[in-house]
Amino acid sequence: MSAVATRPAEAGVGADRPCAHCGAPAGAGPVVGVDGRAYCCTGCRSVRLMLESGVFEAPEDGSRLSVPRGRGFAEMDTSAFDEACVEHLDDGLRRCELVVDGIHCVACVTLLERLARVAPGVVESRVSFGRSRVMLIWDPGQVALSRIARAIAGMGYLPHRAKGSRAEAGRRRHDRAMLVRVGVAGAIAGNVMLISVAIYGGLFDGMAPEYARLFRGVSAGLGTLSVIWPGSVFFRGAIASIRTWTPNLDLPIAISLGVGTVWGLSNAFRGQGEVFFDSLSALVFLLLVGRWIQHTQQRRAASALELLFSLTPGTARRVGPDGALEDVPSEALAPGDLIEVRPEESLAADGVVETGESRIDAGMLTGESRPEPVSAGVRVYAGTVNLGSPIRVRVSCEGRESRAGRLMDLVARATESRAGIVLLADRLAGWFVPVVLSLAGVTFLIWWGRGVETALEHSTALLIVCCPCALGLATPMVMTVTLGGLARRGVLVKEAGAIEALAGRGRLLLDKTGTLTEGRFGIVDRAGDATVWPVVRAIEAHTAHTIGRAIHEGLEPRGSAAVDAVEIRSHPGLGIEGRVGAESYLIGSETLLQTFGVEADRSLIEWGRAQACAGDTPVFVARGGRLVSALSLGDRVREGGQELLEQLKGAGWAPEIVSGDRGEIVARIGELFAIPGEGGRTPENKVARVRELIAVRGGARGPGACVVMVGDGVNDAAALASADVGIGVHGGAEASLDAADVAVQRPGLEPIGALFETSRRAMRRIRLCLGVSLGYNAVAASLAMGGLLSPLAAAVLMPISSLSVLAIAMRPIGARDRT
Amino acid sequence: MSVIYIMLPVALGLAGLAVWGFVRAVRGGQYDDLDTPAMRAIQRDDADAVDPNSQP
Repeated sequence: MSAVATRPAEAGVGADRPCAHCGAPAGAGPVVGVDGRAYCCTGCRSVRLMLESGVFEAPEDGSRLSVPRGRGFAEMDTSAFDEACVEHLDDGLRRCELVVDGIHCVACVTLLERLARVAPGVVESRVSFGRSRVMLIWDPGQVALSRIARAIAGMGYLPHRAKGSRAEAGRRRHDRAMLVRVGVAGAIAGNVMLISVAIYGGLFDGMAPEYARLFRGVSAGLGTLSVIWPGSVFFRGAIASIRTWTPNLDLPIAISLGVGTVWGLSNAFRGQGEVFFDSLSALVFLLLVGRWIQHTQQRRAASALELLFSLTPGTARRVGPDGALEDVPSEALAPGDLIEVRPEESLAADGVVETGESRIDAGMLTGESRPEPVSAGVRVYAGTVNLGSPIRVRVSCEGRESRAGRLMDLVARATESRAGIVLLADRLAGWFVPVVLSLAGVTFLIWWGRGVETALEHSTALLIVCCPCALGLATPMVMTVTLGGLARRGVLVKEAGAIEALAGRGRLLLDKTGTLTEGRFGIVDRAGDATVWPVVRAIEAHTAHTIGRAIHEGLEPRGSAAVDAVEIRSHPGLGIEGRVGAESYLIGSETLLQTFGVEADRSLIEWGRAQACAGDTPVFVARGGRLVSALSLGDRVREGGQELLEQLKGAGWAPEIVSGDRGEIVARIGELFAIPGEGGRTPENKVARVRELIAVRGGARGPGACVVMVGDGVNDAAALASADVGIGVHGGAEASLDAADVAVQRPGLEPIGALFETSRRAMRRIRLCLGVSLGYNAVAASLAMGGLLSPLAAAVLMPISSLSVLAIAMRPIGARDRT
Repeated sequence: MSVIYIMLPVALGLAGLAVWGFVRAVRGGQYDDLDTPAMRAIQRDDADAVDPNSQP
C-alpha cells in the first residue's frame, strides 16, 4: 500500500465533494492538489496540472516528466532486477510489467498510456486497469527503466516491481483455455439444440428415415465433440479425484457424461433408441459457464509471492562499508547488511536496530494499535513501518525467511489446501443425468407391453421434458445477480460458495483493530473546558509526533478565524508548549503538568487515570498554569457494531474477538459489544484458533458449523485464508484482502451486515429456483411416465420451464439499501 | 429436402468458422482485459492540441 502517492488529505476536507477534474465523487479521502482543489485520485490531479501547465506540448527530451521527487528507482537498472522481471524481446527492446499504485479512473489510464507518446524511448505503455499494472516496452538504448519509473512517480503513481510474473502468465493461459472451452461448448450446444428441433419435429410429422439418420448422426457427432473437447476437464478432474481418493464433483459429472455419450452413440449407430446429445451438450455448456463465473470472481486472489510483495518494500537503502548509501533490491540483501530506514518507510527485512531511536508501527503484523518504541538492540520485522526518526538496522533475515515471509507461506498453504465450497446446485446437477436416464429406462419397460413404439414415445417425452437447464442455470444466475448487487455496494465476493456459507450459521471470529475499531489512533473522549480545542488544534499543527498529529486531525476547526500559535516548544516524551494571544498553553502527559507545577484539577486527573486504566492515552491541557481540559486518545470503536452483532447473533452466529492487541483493551471492547474475546494472539495463534474451531465441528462443513473470520491486517491474513470464509474489511492490508474470500471496499461495518443479509436472501432465492425446477421436472417426469405427455407438448414445456426459472433468478436481490 | 445435405454442412461450417474466430480472439488476448479498452476508447488522439477548458 503506498503512502506516498495517495495519502488521504487531512480529515474533513470535502468528504463527498466531486473531483475537480472528472466530477466523480472524491470520496472520504480526496487527493488535494497544490491548487487546493479536491480530486478523486492522483491521476485526475496530475492530468489537471499537466493540462494546465502544458506539459504535453512536445517535450523533446522528456525532461519535464522526470520530477526529481522521492526515490531514484536505481535498483530497476540492476542486473538482478533485469533477470527477475524484464523480458528481452527479439528486436532488442525490453518488456516489463510494473504494478502501479493509485490507478483509479479513466484519467489514470489515459495518463499512463500517454507515456509512450511523451517519453522518448518508451515504445508502448499498456494499462491493465483491473490488475493495476502497466506493461512497458522500451528501448534500453534510449532510456533506462529507472527513468521511466521516475516519470511514473512524477505523475503521482508509485511503481513497484511485479513479483511473480511467471505465475501470472500461467494464470492467463489457464483463463484463456477456460474461456475457449466455454465458447466451444456454447456453440456446440446451440447447434445440437437446432438439430434436435428437427429430430423432435420429425417424431410427429414423420421423417424419411435417411434424414432422421443424418440428423441423429450429426447430433451424435457434435455432442461427442462437446464431451471430449470442452467436457474433457471433467474427465481429467475425475481421474485426479480417483487417483487421490478424494471424491469431487467432477466424478459424478464425468460418469453421467460418459454413460450418456456411450449410450447415445450406441443408439445412434444402431439407429434406434434415443440420442440425447442436446441435453448432454447443454449440460457441458452450463456447467462450464457456472465454473467460469465462479472463476472470474476468484481470479483476484493472488499468489503468496504477490502477497509478500505488497507487504514488504521492493528496495532497501543499504549502507556500504564506506558509509555510502545505495538503493538495492530487497532480494540482494544478505544477513549482516546494514540498512537505513527513514521515517514513513517500511522495513525490507527482519533485523536488529543498530543505531537510532524511533517508533515502529507493527500493527500490520501484530495487531497492536500503538506504535512501539524501539532503540538499539531491539528486534524489528520486515513490513513494519518506521514512524519516528531514521534508524539503521542490521539485517538478520530477508524475504521468505522473514517473519512476514513465513506468514505469507502460511497464507499460501491455507489457500491451496482449502477445498472449495461445493454449491448445492452442482451436487444436484451431477446426479440429474443418471436419474433421468434410469427413469427413461423404467418408462420404456413400463410401456414395453404396449409395443416398442409407445414405449419409445413415452420415454422420449420424458427425456425431452426433463431439462437440466433450469437446474444448471438457477444458481449461477442468482449468484451473478447477487455478486453484482454486492459489488455495487462495495462488497467484492471472490468465491461464490461464500454466499452459501454466510447464509447459514456458525462461528464468527472478529479481529479488533481495524475491524471493530477504526484501527487508527484518534480522540476517543474529551472532558473539561471545550473552548480550548481550537487552540489545541493550532498548537498541535506544529508537531510531527503521532499523538500530536492524531489530536490535530481529530479536532474540528472552529469557524474560519485562524488561530495563530507561537513560541512552540516541544518536550520530547512529555508534550508540547505554546502561546496563543496572551495565554500560554501546555499540552501533554501528567508528568508534564508536574514538571511545570501546574495547578491540577483533581476531577480531570482522575478522569485521565480512568482512561489510562481502560487502555487509552490521556492528554491534559493547561492554560495559564491551570489545568482546564483533558482528552483521551485511543482506537475508536466503529459505529453500528452493536447493531450488527445483535443482528448476527439473532441469525445464529456465535461471535468472538481474536486480537493481537493487549488483553485489557480487548476485554473492554468485548464488554462493549457483549461478546467474548481474547487478546495477545499472534497471527499463528489466530490460525490455531480457526483450526481448533474447524476441528471441533469435525472437519466436515454443515449447517451451523461454518467458521467465518473477519479481519483487516496482515496478521489476520493467514486466519482469513484458513477459515471457511474470510472477510477482509475496508482499509486492510492488500495481503489480507487477497487472502479473503470477501473484500469489503467501503468503510464501516454496514456492508458486512448487508453481506450477511444478502447472502440469506440469495440462498432463499436459489432454493426457490431449485424447488421450482425440481418440482417441474418431477411433475413432468411423472406425466411422461404415465404416458400423458406427447413429445410435442414436452418440447413446448421445456423452454417454458427454463424461462420461468430464469425470470425468478434474474430479479434483483432486494436487500434493504441503507447506503 | 435433399438440399439438407448441402445446407447442414454449410451451416456447421459457418458455425465452425465463428468458433475458430472466437478461439483465435481468445488466444490472441482480446478477452484478457475487458475493463481497460472501454476507458481507452474515450482517450483523445490529438492530446497535443488539448484545450484545458474543453475538459469536463
